Amino acid sequence: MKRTAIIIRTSPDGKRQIAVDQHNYSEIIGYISQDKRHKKKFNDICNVVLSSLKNTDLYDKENINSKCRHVTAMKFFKGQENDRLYCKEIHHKNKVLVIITSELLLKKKSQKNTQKEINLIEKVAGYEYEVVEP
Amino acid sequence: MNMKSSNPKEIKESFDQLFNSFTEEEKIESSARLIMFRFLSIIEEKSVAMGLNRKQLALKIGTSPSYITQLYRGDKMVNLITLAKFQKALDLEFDIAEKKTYEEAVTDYPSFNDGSGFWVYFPFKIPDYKDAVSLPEMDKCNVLQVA
Repeated sequence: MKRTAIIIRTSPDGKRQIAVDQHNYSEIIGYISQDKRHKKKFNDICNVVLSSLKNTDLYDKENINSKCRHVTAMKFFKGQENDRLYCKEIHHKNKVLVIITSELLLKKKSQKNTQKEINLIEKVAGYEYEVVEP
Repeated sequence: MNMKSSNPKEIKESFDQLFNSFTEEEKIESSARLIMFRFLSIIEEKSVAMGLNRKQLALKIGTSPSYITQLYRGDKMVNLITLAKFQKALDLEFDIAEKKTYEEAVTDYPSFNDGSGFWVYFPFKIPDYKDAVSLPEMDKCNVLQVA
């Protein structure tokens, strides 16, 4: 069954968009909105993603295996809380790249992915989305 | 902000509220970090191309790997002296240009008659070569035949 992704932001050239998984929206916005620090970090990550900039400290692929080629992670406070917001990248109409914020992982403890993280990344890899632009 | 709503319009509005919640000072700081990230993106690509890890890059510019990491995380701001050191270490030169919209770019070239013929600039949209999916398909390319 397809999940729904709601577009929340678009790049000025229209080639990239950020969306949120409708089912996990409450948890995601609750995390991001908790304080100014988190809001600023999310804003910075969105700016990097929408500008197509390379910065593996903020946003990077999580293609741990061939199933997970389109899974990425927004990294919040690496070296401190080290939280992750796992995303799925898909191409939408007119070849627009949509980055869908999907599953939250709090306090990633080690550099290497644990089984819990692998399971979550593979879960996101298996998600299929219908994109909605309000 | 109603965080329990799953209505698409309300979800979008809740994020709009979030992005619009910053003060003017915070917006300027965010813009400054984005400018820095643009430089750092080029630096990261060049470092990878040269096979340099962060420790090696830090050594080349006379700083610590943790400082470079702090820049990438947005925890510290880069200064121009450090940017100049990156340029030298990576044998590159940053090119600064004002970003123009497509419309602004093509209006710099109006059509004109130079006596030899009437030149019209065909609005060609430069493809993003980094994004392979945006390249024009072969049968959709226009071919101009010159008599």
